[in-house]
Amino acid sequence: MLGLGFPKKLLALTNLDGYKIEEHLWGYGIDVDKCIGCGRCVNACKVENKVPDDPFFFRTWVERYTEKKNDKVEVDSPNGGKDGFADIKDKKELIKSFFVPKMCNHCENPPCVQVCPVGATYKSKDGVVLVDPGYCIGCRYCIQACPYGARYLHPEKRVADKCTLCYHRITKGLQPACVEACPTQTRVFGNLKAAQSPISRFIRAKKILVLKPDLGTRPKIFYSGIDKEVR
Amino acid sequence: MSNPYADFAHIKRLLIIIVVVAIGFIVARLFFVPKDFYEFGHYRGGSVTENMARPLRYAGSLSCKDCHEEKHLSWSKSRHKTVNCETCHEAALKHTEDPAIKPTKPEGRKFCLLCHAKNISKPKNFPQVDPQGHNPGQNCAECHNPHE
Repeated sequence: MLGLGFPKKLLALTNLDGYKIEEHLWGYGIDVDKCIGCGRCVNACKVENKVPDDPFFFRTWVERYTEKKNDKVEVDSPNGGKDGFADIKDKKELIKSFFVPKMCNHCENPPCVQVCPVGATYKSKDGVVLVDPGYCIGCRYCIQACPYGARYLHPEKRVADKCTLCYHRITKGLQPACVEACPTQTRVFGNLKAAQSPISRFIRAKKILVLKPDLGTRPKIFYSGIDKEVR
Repeated sequence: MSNPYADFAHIKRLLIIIVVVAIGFIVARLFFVPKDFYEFGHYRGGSVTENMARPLRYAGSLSCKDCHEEKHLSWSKSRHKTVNCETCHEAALKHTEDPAIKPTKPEGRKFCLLCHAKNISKPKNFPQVDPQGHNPGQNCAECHNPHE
């Protein structure tokens, strides 16, 4: 529109270094039935991406859902689950309890991208929602817009920060750090455009749900084994 | 008889201001909008490569195999085969570049208990122990070899 029709698309300005962006659409699976809440993913994410170590800055975190007999659902996540979870003491009122890892859902219709006033957050051609820290003005609109609470304002850089699916790793053929560190194969990762990738197999083999499907954001984080209480 | 279009001067002035502002806007954005903006969409194309170029810290279990083939073999047959090297030994890319920099080695009970402490929220089929009841104070590795 306001690109004024300059033939920028004809000029290959950006050198992707042999990475075939068109052949990929990254997807991610989380098998809640396998999660033990050890927090190794949270730790790995903080190490790999230099996420500030203070509490409440997370690109991924683990929540514990506790369903009680009086229809009460409690959710807790001490230090994002990084140091593990202490056992529940009062088991009398308990119906069930389980861990749910959370992260950016890399939506097909990302609300954070819609609200960004400067084009500093965007969905790349391979489906990953990324931030351009050099262009971000730190207005926090995207943090407000994200229905999954997956973004935070970096306390030193003063720009929005979030999960990139370890874009620097996946474009080199490696797995995201959280998938690498998960000891129980709760976390599954791969190319949705390849029929034999771990994520495509995961989606075929399991009953899949996404978080807040009613919002129409079309997440690419696919959950297996979550309860209706999980939001 | 008065011509309704005779008194046109104030409209002219307004149009000139609008045209000058519009040209100013177009010229300014030629300077201020980066060249790679709109290359793929409403964002800087170079930001994609910047995100790709961030430094790695985890090397991946396959790179451990090059030097530690024996450990890799025993581990790949063990009950811990789904647990990658760097889950316990921490990010070790620096170690692959310079073997003098040693990755960490978890000591004591605390690290093992992150996964194996009894917890009602964990899946029932996952092996768990009661830390108070199961040889308290003793180092897990004295009886259990984590690589076998």
